[in-house]
Amino acid sequence: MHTVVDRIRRYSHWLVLFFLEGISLYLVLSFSMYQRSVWFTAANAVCGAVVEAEDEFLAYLRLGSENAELVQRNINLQRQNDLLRSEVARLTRDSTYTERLIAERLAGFNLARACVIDNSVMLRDNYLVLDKGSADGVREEMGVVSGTGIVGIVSQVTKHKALVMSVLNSKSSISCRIRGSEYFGYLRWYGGNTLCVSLDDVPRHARFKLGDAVETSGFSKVFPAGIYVGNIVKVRDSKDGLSYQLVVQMSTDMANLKNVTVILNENDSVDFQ
Amino acid sequence: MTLSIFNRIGQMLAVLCVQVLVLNHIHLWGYATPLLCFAFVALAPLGANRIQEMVMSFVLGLVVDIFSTTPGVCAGAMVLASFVQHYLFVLMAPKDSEPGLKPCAKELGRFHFIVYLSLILALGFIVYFALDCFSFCRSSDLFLALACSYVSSMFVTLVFVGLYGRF
Repeated sequence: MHTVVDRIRRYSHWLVLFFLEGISLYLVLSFSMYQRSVWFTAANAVCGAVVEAEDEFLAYLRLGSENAELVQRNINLQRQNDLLRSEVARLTRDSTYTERLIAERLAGFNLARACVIDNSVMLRDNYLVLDKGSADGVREEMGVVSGTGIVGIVSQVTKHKALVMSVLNSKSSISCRIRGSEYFGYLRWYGGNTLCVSLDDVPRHARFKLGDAVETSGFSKVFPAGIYVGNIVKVRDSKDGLSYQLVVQMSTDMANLKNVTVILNENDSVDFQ
Repeated sequence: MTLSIFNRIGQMLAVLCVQVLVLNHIHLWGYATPLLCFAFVALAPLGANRIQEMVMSFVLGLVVDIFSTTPGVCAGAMVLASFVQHYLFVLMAPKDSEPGLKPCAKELGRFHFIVYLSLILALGFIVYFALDCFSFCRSSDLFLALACSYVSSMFVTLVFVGLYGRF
């Protein structure tokens, strides 16, 4: 205790110095506007710098979690970007090219634009209902196509409606060929995936490769030759082993149809303006 | 001891009168106002009570501030000068000097005494102008005022200590 008191007494002049200087500074800052404003300006600047440095330090500490979050967001965006890119590529390539090809093939035919008012894809035998009927020139056994490929064949007709047997129907059998060759087969659907159909009875000596396009052969009056159907994605042997059964990825999404075109016979052409 | 205190009070009153009545009205070239109050700090004897010296310096500075409308500026400078004066005097005084030694040219030598005075004044003026201007935005004006005031104050201080028989 004595030591503490002695020490305080020994350095008491320091305490007095700080005390008197403190009073002087207080007087300066209290009674002089200029000094006070300079003091507060400087103090604010120092406080601002300290707060800024503190913020930067705390932000630096948070960088780890923010970085992880950014990486996750980056992955999501990259995935989204890839999806959109592939979707855009698919849509632009398929629709424009296929649509142009189909339009070329149907150049000499009379056509009737129709809207799909009912559609099924979940059944074994699927049908579509169009809003055009006999009054519009639609007859049975007429082909129906969309902008992306074949859709089906008109099965029954009333005055203002038409029932179309979809490609996704067990009774449907459309003559098709591999583009660039004369080898043909019959397009059938055995249920399951609504985007995949089978091209049966393709001869074993036929030359083709995966990815080749399949189109209508034109051997019937229903579809003209060269209407795009889809691409070969798989090759299988037929049950009897005498021919190939090709799995074709259809270009037309039958579950998402709105506007279709009925290919009219020349004699039955009607002006639908 | 009592005599010494009265002596110091007398010095304080003399400095105060000269400063307030005469020097406060002098503004050389619009810049320089001579300050004599640091002479009071410089005249403190060796071994004087440091707290007493600092308090007296503070009071003197405060009174000068009141008459100069610069509250706290001269007082702060005087307190710091008074605090440092002890160390400077110990540094300049001959070794084995007895307590009560008065700072004068005869004891310290003329050169050392002038150095001693000039150091106290320099320190006092730096603090004085630092508190008065409070920023270095007009440093050229500040330096000019400091230099003019310092030179004029040095002259006045030398005259004062000469009149007191210390030079």
